[in-house]
Amino acid sequence: MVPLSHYLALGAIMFVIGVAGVLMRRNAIIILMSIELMLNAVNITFVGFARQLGDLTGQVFAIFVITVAAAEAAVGLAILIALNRDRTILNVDEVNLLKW
Amino acid sequence: MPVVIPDIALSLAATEIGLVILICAVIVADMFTSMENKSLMGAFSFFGVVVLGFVALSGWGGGVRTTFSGFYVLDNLSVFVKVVILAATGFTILLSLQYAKIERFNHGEYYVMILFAVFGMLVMASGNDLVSFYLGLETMSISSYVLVSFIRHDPLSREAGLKYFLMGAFASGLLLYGIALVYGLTGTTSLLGIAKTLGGANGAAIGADPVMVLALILIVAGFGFKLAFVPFHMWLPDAYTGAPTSITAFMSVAVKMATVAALMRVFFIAFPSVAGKWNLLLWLLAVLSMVWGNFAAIAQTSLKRMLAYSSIAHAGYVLMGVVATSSFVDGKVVFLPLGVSAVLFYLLAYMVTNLGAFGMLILLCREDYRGDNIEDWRGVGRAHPWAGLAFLIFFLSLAGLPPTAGFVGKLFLFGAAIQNEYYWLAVIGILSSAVSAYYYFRVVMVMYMETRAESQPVVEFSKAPSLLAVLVILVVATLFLGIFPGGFIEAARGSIAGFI
Amino acid sequence: MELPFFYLFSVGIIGASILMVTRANVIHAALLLVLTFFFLSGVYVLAGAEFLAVVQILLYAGGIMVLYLFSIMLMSVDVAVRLRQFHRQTIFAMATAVLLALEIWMVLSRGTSYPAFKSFGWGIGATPGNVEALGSVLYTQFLFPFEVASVLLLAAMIGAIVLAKRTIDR
Repeated sequence: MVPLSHYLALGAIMFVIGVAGVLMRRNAIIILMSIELMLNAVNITFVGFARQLGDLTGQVFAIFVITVAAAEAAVGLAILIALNRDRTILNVDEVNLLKW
Repeated sequence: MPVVIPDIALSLAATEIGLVILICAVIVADMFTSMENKSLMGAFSFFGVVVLGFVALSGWGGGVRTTFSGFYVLDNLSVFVKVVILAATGFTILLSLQYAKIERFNHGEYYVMILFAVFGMLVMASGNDLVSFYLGLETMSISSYVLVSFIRHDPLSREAGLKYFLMGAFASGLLLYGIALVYGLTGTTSLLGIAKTLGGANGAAIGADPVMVLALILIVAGFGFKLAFVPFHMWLPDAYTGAPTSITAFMSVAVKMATVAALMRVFFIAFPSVAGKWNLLLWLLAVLSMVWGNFAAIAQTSLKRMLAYSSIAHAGYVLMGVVATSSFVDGKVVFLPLGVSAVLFYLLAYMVTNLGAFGMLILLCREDYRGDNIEDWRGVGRAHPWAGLAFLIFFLSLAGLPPTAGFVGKLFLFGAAIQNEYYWLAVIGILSSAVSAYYYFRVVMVMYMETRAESQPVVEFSKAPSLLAVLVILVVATLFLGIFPGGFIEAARGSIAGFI
Repeated sequence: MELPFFYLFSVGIIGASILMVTRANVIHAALLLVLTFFFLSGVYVLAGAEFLAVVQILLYAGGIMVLYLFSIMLMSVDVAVRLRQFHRQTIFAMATAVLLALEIWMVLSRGTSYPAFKSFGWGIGATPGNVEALGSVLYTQFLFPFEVASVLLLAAMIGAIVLAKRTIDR
């Protein structure tokens, strides 16, 4: 029997690692992957709560989150490929035509 | 295990279903249209949207009806929001017809993506459950990421798309974590179910739980990013400047409308018993957005960027109305409907005004000349009195001066704030609004008082009939809402029936 | 018997994800993310979410991550490896992350109103299983979100093609 607190702690740790990745890294692909990490942290939390509550809504929500993550990854990578078509930019702080 | 098919009243979701049919029809028709005739897709989408607007309107006054196992709700609020969103979409499509050719992105997919975004908005307006709300939000967001980076040959647009995408995806992560915690505490994702649990026997303990506070902070932050409240606004000026102007206009009105409607539904329906907590957070965001949005707008030289910052401030005014809805008596919250109707009317007024202001930028746009700097408008007012007058009216409305829609909207909002004893909010709102008059009128000064430099190209407006027609309609609407607001105020009042 | 496995998977998840966010090489990072997802599906099995565990591997590790790897191949990552990997304000970002971690930990450990444990309506070997139970709610009760999700996927598909295609002329 794994207690609920373990699932929550695991989710929280993963979420924070994801947030740290988004805030620290310059590479856009790694930022994107860190966002995937955040979404998966949310899924652990959902699944942990679903087990505790004996309720399927959490698992269904997790399935929708995976669906959305797939859609987001597709569009995000497409934007990156478009950005890379005529010059090589992967680092977000080089993306600076729009500085104010 | 017997599978029980729930009762589904498809007719309630007629607008959404019709929209999906329209989308599929446009996708298929697009395959059989040659590159030169892509504007036909725009016209097709426009007529579809007009029809859907009437379909949406037919749901008015039927009371609160839910279907799809409670995931979908149709009430006057959602009808109001949907009709305004569809109207904004129709205007946006007409604004785009000529502009898309000028900027060389006139593809059928452009209109398809707009319609997808609208689908997400409609779902948000009717989302009666955090699941449907989240999926609507994501449909809207993902389509907007694509639309922002739609000028594929322009690095500015692609960059804007990347920034918008990264911030948007990060924000949905935060929002989602908050939703997960709420689900864990209350055991449900249905808005009514959450309210029931929070108001039930265990409700006080759950409401006071620190996890609930964290969840509320995360949800507010998620909304804050999506609506670009200060301090979550960093992406907005870049995204709005880089995006195609028609899309900037669309996002600043339709995306805001849908998200504010969802925000009100989530907070007023699901979390009334912890209103004291989120109301304070929203109060702070409203003040910061009004002040910072207006002050940052002063320093801009790009008109498009200035309007972007001013849209942050306007989101702050809207949030002021949301905050002013809650009134606390002995620690218990009472929702006063005036605030919500003020928000709805203001969003309607802002829709016609802001679409018009961005439409003026499109009017000046040519193949070799973007015309979105303040400098580009030098002397235009005297050389072209009609265009100058139209822009002046839009600026009057944005600054909140009579006889325009913005004036009535602000009057309504400040009135709601004062009536519910949010004096500080009203004072800060009025002062920051005075600041905004400064930078709007700086542009008016440039238009009327300065003469065009020799080096500047001659002003040559677009002659597209669709664009001119939209601008005329928007000018008239801005004045009409300012002079005869009665009917629309009634509609805004009526739309809260059964809501709070 | 469940607990040791949970710890094993957790160590795997945390280790692989920390390595992932610190790698310079994007391909290494992507493979580490795949590893994270494998461990994660183990956690899902422990939590009684068998269907999600399978989906996690098939769809996430097998589908989404392959998409990532393909896209990485399309971009010139060898240049990116040699560049500075972290922002100048990394210290602040790290401080923010640590603060957030502390805050979440404090809050989660103090939460008192968590639901009491209720088991799902199915046990091992009993019918219906997790997949059947999920399927029956997904297509009835959750029909509306399910349909919205399908529209969302269509939107993402068209959007991704429009952006990534070299030319849209024909």
